[in-house]
Amino acid sequence: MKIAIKGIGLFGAGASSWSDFDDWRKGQSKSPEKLPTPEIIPKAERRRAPRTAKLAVEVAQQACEMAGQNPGDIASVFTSVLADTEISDQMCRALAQPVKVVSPTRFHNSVHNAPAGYWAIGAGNHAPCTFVSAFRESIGAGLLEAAAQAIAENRPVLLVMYDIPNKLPLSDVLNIDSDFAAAMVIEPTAAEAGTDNAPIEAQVINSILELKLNSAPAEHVKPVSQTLRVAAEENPSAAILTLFEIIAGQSPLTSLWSLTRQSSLEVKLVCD
Amino acid sequence: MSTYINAWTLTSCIGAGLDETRKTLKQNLSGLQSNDWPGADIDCWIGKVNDDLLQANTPVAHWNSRNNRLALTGLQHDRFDELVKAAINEFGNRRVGIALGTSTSSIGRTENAYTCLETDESFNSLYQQSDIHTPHSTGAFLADHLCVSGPCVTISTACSSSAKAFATADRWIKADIVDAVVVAGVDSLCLSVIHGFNSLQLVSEQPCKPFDIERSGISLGEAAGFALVSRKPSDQNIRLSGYGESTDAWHMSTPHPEGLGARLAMEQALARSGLQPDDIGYLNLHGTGTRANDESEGGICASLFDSSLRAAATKGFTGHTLGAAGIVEAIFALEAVTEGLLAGTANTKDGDTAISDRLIRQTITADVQHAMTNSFGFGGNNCTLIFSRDAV
Repeated sequence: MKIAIKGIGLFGAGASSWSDFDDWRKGQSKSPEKLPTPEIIPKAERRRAPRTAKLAVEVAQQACEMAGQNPGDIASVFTSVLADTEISDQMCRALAQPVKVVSPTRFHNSVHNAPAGYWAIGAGNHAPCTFVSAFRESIGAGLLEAAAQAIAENRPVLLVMYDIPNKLPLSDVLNIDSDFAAAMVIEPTAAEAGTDNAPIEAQVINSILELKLNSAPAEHVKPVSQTLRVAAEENPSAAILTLFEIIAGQSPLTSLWSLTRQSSLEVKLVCD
Repeated sequence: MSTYINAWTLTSCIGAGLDETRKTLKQNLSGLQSNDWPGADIDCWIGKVNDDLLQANTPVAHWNSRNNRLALTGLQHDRFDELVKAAINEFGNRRVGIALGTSTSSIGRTENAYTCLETDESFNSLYQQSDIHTPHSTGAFLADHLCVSGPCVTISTACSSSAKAFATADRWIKADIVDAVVVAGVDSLCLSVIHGFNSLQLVSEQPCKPFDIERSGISLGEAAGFALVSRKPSDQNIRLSGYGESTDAWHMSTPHPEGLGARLAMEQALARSGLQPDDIGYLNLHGTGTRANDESEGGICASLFDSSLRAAATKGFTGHTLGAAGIVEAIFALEAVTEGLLAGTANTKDGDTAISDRLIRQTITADVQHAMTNSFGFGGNNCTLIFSRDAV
């Protein structure tokens, strides 16, 4: 399967957008001071929007802007390793009390597609929208779902990934120390199908990736940069930084994503 | 190229396996009971699967949760476990995938774990199950139990989750990623959903009555449904002929009042299948029993379909099984095209929506070639599926 990456959104410990990537990689960037406040979420909804939605919508908006893609009509795939642990924690604590008081807003924000819902409402987007998860294999699962949709439906697809810091007891499952979110606008390549491209001048990047399923287990390939390695250890979604180094021409590697205990997804840069 | 549905099974409050389910549907018996869920002191009705049956299907401690017990129980019926093994033998375990739809996953187990945290806030040793307290708990359990090693993904888009799992399976087969997919939907009752829906004032004090003039909300339920889909047809020759996915872009927990997203999903599914509304012999509505859903879904279906449509809303039988509702009602659509069994609208007496004249109240038998099912979820997430039986 061949796909083209047309735009990237990024927010993490050392970047508030893709333009910070190179400095972050070199260990020369500063941490963003606060959580993003994406314009796409209307003011009235911002107060209610959970942390995951603010992060996910911010990077989704950035990726569309870079690709010259209208946020109102792109299909989307959201993925997360542990999803909104802040809300799961609050809900489980409330339900462990003798008198159980659940806030209606917190409950509707607890569905795993809540960030996708805020995105669709803000962008006025009626296109297909999904949330997929596969624990440690979530990035591989998200890439596979987004690529399969782009190719089978012959349309651009927005892939968004995010995870947020957690605390005990949920950090027992997998410890997450910092916020991370990233998004990519993915299009089928001309070889796979006819494309309905954004204006050429808007294409800041146009990396063609080849995806292959391997019948062998694999460890995620770690980023080359020491700073990015630390970021990927702090947040499982930041493992995508390996692919970003490859796209930025800063790594000769092929990225390999574990899909299940016996299979993996190989992602290779074909040309730029 | 087509995607064929070659086997299915369902366990819910109306029966474990298809034989019991068909019998209950034919007798028009609701599976709902007065709420006795521990810790949920709320006056309502629930569709609960028998606790003893679930206990008898407890996986090893590492995987134990109500959701995984329910999944394991479901797999024991209609030879489903064996049929998956046969598909693995035929295609190889790396060419078989799993697409699971669930909204709860094993959050009920996590809720229990929070009642007995250690003083340092870590999980008590009984609940130190790192694969359980994640959205992918049941997907990972199924892959392990079924020895499937193709792609395995959990789809979680609230009440459309397991309907969308069919669309994902179809794309995987068409993109030649796999040859067969276990499509699953497993959701279990827990405090989060009972108290959560109650906080939104969406839970009825009576058994839910979809499309009834006196409807006052949902009854929550739980279920495990499975379908084995493949690029090769079985003798029954049943295809997923169409699907449509859309988003309301309206509100997190209320459907679009004019059913905009619902219409887009149904129109896409019809376009993909090459069928006209008149071709649909049975429509299983989302029909939750809330004022808002039934009003908007009834309105849009009345404008899309003519008066000869046979439609039903089956949540009066099973309760609203949330992330599993998509596959539960896909199975009712599959039963319509194979067995000619058209599940009716249990509990509903006096309809007041635009679609009331097209609702079948009692379960009937009729020859149906194409059946459609709707599933709509929070976040305005919609999915419509169409199943077709072709002449062999």
